[in-house]
Amino acid sequence: MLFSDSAFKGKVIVIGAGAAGMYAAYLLHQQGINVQVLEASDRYGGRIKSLQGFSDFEIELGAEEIHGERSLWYDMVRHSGAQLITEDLSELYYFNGAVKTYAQATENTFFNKVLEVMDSFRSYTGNDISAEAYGNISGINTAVQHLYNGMVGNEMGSSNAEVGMYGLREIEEKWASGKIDSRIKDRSLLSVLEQTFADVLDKIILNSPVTSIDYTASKITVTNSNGQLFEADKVIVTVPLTVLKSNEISFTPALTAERVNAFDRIGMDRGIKIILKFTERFWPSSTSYIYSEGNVPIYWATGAGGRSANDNLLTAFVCGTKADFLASQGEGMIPIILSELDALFGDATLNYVTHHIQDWREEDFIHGAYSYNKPGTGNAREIIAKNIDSKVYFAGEATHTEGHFATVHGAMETALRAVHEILETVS
Amino acid sequence: MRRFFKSYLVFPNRLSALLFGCLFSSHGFSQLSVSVGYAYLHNRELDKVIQLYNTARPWQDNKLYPLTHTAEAAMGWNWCLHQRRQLHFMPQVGYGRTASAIRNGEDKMSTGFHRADIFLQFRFHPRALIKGVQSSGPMGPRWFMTAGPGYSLIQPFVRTNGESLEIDDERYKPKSFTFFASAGIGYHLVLLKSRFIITPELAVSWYPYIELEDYTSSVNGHNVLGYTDSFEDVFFFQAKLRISFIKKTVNWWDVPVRQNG
Repeated sequence: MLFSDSAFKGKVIVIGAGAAGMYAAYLLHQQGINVQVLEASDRYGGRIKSLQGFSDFEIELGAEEIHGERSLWYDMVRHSGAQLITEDLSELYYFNGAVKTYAQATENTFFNKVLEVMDSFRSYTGNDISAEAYGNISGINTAVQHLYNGMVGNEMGSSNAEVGMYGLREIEEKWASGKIDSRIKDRSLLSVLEQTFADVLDKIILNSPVTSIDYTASKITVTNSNGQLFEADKVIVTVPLTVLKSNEISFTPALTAERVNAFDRIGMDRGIKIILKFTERFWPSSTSYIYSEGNVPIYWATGAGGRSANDNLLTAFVCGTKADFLASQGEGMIPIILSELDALFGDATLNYVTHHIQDWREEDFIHGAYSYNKPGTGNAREIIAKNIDSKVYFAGEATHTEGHFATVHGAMETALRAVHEILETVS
Repeated sequence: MRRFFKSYLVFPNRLSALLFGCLFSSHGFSQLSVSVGYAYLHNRELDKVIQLYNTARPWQDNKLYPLTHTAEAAMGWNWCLHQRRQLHFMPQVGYGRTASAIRNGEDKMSTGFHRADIFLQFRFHPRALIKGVQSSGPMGPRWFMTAGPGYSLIQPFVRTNGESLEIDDERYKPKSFTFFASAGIGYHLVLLKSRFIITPELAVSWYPYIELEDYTSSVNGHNVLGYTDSFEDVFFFQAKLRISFIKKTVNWWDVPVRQNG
């Protein structure tokens, strides 16, 4: 096997029990390595989190789509026995004052221009400008710019004004996980983590926010906010980029200016999921995504594909500045969203029952949706992915250097990289 | 000479007829030979690609076997270049399939590569080559050595549940070309009805360089560890069984030109 020649027999502390942290611990445990996971919050899973009791199925509040059919995450989900939604669902697009199917939308030259521009990301050769600037140069009409933002900027976790063209090109060039996106039908993603990583759940110490990492001596000392000290030979840091940016963890010796600067060159904005329940379904039954205009760039039919037998649910997903605006309205965001849905379908406010808001900016120890490349991100991910003195290693979706950032499988791949670095270099 | 080539370039049907005539002529200068065999592929870097797949998926019950097992077949035409020196030349065309497959639950995965070869094999007996077939030693001239260069077309594949991997809406089947060198030994084991010779052979083929474009990411769905897709020093350890359809045994083995000098 890959690590069979490794002589490393020391202890590893993994900081953060998201997908990357749990997978790193699992891989190390499989190799017989003594591993401990320190999780700041009172739960594991990180940005994989489900809402129970709101409907007749568990609703994903964080990661939801499995991007691609050739990835560690996809294989893990398949192995868990989870059913994937196989129904053929269709997307809707709202522009020029009407909701259109894909076939109807492609009769419009403005819409086709958006698709053409998105297809050209791979061959982009200009400067690292924003997706918005590129859209303007390319002649995307104002009537469909909200669709362009919904399919690009919001999808990337921000808005077109913030997302850089080189990052979009990198994804197109380096993506190797397949094109099929899928969702689980019959269980939560968290349950897949729990099932697969069952052997290491008892290695996780919850409510243990790490405040400092001292790697001056040969043994690394990790301190949490409770004043507890932990010693290890290696540390894998898998906390979200926002936590690293905010200096919630102090490093001794201090992180280099180059690394700190690299943190700031990568974006990670607010992302909000609003789950809305209605008495009646007022959207077509085969609907997957609805690209909209206004403050919510995209909705999807939460219970579609056989997830829910009884409930009529829509998920509104908003990132970046639009999310900041809605968050500033507090609960007042609900009537805003309902009025926008009324413009699309007419019956939203009338059928509204209740809602649940998941604001990832306000989630303790996470503070954002997921990372994206800004104009000028450049090699920042390569810099933050480097280990420090073969003692402190970094993993998590933001450290992915091959275009799979902002995904669960990307996070897992970085954990694999960190474990590989530890075990392959000590032999 | 230039005129000769020119005339046959102008009339390719005549060239084909000449080649065909040479290869299957009753004079015994060329004789058909077919072989089937097994090869064990050895390359640590290529092993790592498969090991990465397995190591990253500890939850899978069945592991993907390293890319080692290779089925091979070849067809060639033997030419006796020098009867007394027992020097033969056999141009061959061959095919090899190196593959590994697993099934986990309902999911099947297979990967490997196809190899199409052109191989120019020289067959000789070391002592006979120097002193003539009468001096071939106590084991006689039945045993021989082989050596020669070749050229291969390599095409990797990755299939999931029977369907070929697609990248950017195109089937994953990159092509690469590479040279190789091969050396081996063999023994003309049995002569059947004075028409067929059964010949086991052992050989090693060295491919200095095999390029399998995007292979690591195609198998694993990522290449986050930066593994190479250019594999150096790839060795095939081959065991073949050859059947040769002969016209004259004198061209092949232990019927010396002259007894006891």
